[in-house]
Amino acid sequence: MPQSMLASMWMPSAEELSQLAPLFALVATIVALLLAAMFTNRNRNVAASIVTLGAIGTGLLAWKRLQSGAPSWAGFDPNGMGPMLISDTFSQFFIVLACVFMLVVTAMWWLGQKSDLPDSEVHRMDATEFFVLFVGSAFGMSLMVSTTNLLMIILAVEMASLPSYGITAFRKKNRVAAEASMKYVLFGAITSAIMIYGASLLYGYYQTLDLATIGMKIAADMQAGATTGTLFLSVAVFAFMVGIAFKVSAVPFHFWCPDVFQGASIEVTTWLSVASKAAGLGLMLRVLSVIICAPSAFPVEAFKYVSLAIAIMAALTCTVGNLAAYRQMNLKRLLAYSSIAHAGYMLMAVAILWSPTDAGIGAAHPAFSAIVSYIIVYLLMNAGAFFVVAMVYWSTGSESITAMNGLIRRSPMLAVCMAIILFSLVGMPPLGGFMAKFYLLMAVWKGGLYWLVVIAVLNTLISLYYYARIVRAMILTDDGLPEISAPMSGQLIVAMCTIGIILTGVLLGPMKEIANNNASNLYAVVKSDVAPRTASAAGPSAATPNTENADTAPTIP
Amino acid sequence: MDASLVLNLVIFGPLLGMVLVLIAPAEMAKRITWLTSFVVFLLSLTLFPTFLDGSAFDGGYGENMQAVTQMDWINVVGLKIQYHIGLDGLSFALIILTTLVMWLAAWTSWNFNTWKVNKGAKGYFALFLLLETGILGTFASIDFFLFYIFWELMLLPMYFLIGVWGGAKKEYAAIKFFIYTLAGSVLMLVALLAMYYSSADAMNTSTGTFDLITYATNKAIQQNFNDPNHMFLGWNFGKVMFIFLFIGFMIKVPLFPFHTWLPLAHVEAPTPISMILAGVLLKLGAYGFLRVCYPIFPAAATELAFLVATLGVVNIIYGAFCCLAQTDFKRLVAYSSISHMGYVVLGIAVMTTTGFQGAMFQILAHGISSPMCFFLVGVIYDRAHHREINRFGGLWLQMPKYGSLATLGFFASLGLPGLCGFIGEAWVLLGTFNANKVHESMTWAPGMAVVAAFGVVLTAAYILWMIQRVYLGTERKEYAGFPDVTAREAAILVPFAVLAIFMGVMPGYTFQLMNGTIDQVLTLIKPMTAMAFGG
Amino acid sequence: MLATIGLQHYLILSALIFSLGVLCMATKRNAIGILIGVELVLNSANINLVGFSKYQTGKGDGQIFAVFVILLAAAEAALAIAIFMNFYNNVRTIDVDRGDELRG
Repeated sequence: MPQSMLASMWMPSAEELSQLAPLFALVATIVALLLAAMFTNRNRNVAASIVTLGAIGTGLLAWKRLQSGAPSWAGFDPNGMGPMLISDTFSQFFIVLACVFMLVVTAMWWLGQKSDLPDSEVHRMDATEFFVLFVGSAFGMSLMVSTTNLLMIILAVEMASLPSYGITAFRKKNRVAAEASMKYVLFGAITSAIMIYGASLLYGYYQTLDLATIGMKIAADMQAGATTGTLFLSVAVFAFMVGIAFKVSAVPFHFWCPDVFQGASIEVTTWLSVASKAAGLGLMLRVLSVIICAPSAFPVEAFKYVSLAIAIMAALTCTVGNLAAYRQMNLKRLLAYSSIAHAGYMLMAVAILWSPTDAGIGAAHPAFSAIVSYIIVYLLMNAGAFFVVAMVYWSTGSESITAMNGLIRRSPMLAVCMAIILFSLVGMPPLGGFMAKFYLLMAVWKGGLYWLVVIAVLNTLISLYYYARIVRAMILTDDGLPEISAPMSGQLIVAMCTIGIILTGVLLGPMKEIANNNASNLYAVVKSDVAPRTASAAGPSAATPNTENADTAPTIP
Repeated sequence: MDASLVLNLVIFGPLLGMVLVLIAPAEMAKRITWLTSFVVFLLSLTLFPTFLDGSAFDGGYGENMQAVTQMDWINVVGLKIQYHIGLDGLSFALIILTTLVMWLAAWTSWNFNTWKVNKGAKGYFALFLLLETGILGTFASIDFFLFYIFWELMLLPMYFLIGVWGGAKKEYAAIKFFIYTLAGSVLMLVALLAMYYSSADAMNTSTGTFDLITYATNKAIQQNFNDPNHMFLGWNFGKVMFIFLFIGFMIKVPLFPFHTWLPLAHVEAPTPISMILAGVLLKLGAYGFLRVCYPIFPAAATELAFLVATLGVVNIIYGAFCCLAQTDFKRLVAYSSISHMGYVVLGIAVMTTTGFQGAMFQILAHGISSPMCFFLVGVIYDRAHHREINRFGGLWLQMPKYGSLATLGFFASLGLPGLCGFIGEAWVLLGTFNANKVHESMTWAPGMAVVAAFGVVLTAAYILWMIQRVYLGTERKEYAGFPDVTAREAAILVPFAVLAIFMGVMPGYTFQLMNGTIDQVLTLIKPMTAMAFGG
Repeated sequence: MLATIGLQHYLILSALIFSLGVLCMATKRNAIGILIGVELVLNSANINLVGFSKYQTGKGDGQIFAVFVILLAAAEAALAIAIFMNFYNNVRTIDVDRGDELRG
């Protein structure tokens, strides 16, 4: 008996482990950070260097997999209960983005510790802890896009959230930071608890933790014309989506976002503004794709309401974000609302992606492509905007919009770049922000949600005013504040972001082509997660068909 | 030189100049700008031959565009955007007008150092040249997406030019201009998407088109766009799109009730920017009607003709009455622009040959007379530092040369026979009066023309009254010793004056530049307009 | 007569606890009170998971899930309480309504 148990015990093969190299690299970075702290007497520069190297290494590993067109892999499948982890173009794309952004945030940290603000003291003292938590949340976000298993999703979301709570509270003496982190942790705990409850219901109803299997069972039910349990199913799905909506900061789960963005130090804000949203969006795409996109018959009517709900949520998210941004005087808070609004735009494409009409199916590919371009451009815009805010903050100690007054004189370079970035955030052609939004609107239009397009363009109009307020402060107002001393390297990063924005706008041809190609890969992979794990998928465990165990699951009397 | 190369140089030359301005020292900025805009003006003149000998007008609408450059900008699955520029009778004269006005406006900016806000010369001239690229690009674009990009490209420089270098309420004026125009362009964006996908449906292809000529000439697309049964969110597709586009363009024209940004922007903007705004930017709206709305949605245009014509007449009368009430010199000229653009809209609305010709002519005439008027206001503002009409008087005696040129300019604006303004207004009124003979449904047209003609009287009233208060009358002490126009000012005024007389005395040459294309457009849309009334 | 305990009994218990948890989260103004509500919801999920695992799938996955949820709850509580203490150090209370500096 022990003998056979041992034999049947499942062990991952080296080949399987190698598929997850980027994730291991992140874990290794954390371990290296902790060890290095022990041996170098908590040297902050060593810690920052390790994170830089770790981010570059992870990014390269993921990039290599992305470039080599490595087949999608789904593994860690003991007892045929469904794969625990997935490594495909989709997840690698998000990991590469996360790594790029880790580098940006690390650079910001590096520059920020030199300022003589109270924050920098924390930076200098507790660098190791900061970076451990920071890389930890990056690891959680990478996990979020690499799984279709309910348990792993929950773990990934928590892995991303818990360190984020920690780094938000990092300015210990700061009352605002304390308050922000408390709100963050409470909101986060509540939403994740509800999400876990939803997951338990899904598990109970479909008797599996594998989302792909759940998707197929739903499709089978729909085909059989089952109507019972619809209410139950929608409660479960909506409870489950609450946790993801929290990460994306979709209305009405957005309340934490402005508070946390204002309360956290600027590095953390920058990190959360892009990474948390991108990961949440990635998870949402993943979940929806495997649940809804069933292989055999598309459940034509069933998910109309899910799509509609997401569409309404998207419309609300960008409208609320834009309207609330009007009266903000704190730059970080203003940008927080702006990021909520942008999450709303991206959610529009998500709504389309899973609209079960013919038009929706036809629009799935453009929608994927649009989200890919949007996330890239959004990363550039937010990195640039927050970097400018950070440099103004380091130099003046103020995050208020009035700190920007007369920036065109105090630092012409920053002011011009910031103006371009802000107009790109509005969506003015010929900048990247416009092109990204245009692709998005094209996809939404193609998906047939015309009213959503109208809402999106009206929001563009609304958003103009508050972005222009910053521009006005920078260029039209001047109350004689002293010149600011922005570090050269910081200016260089801002300039690179700006050039990137202009290039993505003007050279939209190649850019769109790249997005299209990647999107078709992502799309194919997400699809194949469902149809799948047939011969085309690589890896020994990937070939295990899920359908069988799901259908023949034994029940204990 | 190859015509298409010239057109590309004309469009992107200013951009090149902008780079030079940014690199060179600040004191060189105005020289570079002057030179760039002058070279661009000269270059644009070389495009004349094919329009003079009429060879540009062979074939149907869009079949024989001049100076065409066509290549794929983006061509991926499901999306095809072209870099497609070219000229025909609708756009050619406007290109020349733009390069001329921009050059003279650059010259007007020569005294930049003496302005109240005279910091950031580099920024001013760089934005000035960026604006020129935007305007020229919009006129030359044939691809609707490209058109949209250039259209939006104009917004930012204009926002800063008013907002930074403007008068007391510059920030409010700038943001109001920006928000109004962006509101129009987001509607245009919706129409852009709708037309793209509908064209794909109509042609049964997965990839639609943004080509404005194809929209107008392709039979399948025309059927689809003008089909009374083609619904969009419950309304007729053609009508909804026409209205979206119309609102987008009418904000720029500007038509009542979206005109409120204009007087504000004009009053606050520095003189050269006012010249550009009145001389060229307003024309973009009218050009948009002629290029986009009418050839592509003729059925909707016919059905909504009464509404559009009414808006035009309201503009004429309302603008004129506003002028009568103004005491600020510049604001008066601004409202007169609103009034004059009403004729353009009225002429377009009735869709007759004479009406279209009149509208086009009025566009050009106003493009000559209004910058001239704004410059005349600027000249006196530079000296007196105020613009209160009632505080002036007897200026003609103080500054005889200035007084003569000013009278000429304002008479051109008034529509005195023999000057450019007359021809446009007369043609528009004639075209409107006879429109019921061309389109049976337009029974209201003669009445409309009569009401509009009343606007001519009002125009005469406010301009003559203004001339009386400012230039005639007794000399005032405080203006004694004002120098007469300088050589630079005269050099700017004379081209305007010469053109105003030339176009008024020999309008044939101007008509020759555009009549061919107007005929093509009307021939093209005739079946559709007839269909709109079931005839 | 005592009926055999079946799945529905577990589910009813779980639903009750879930409701109590949500009620607790909604009404408590003390941060610890809210955290207790969160724990209740998590435990109701655990009851679900274990119940389903025992009566329906017969596999261990639900129970493993429950173990992970317990661990998560512990980690979350540790972190949350640390953050509450930090808040207390700054504000001298953990009444969430006192967190009113950030609004708008």
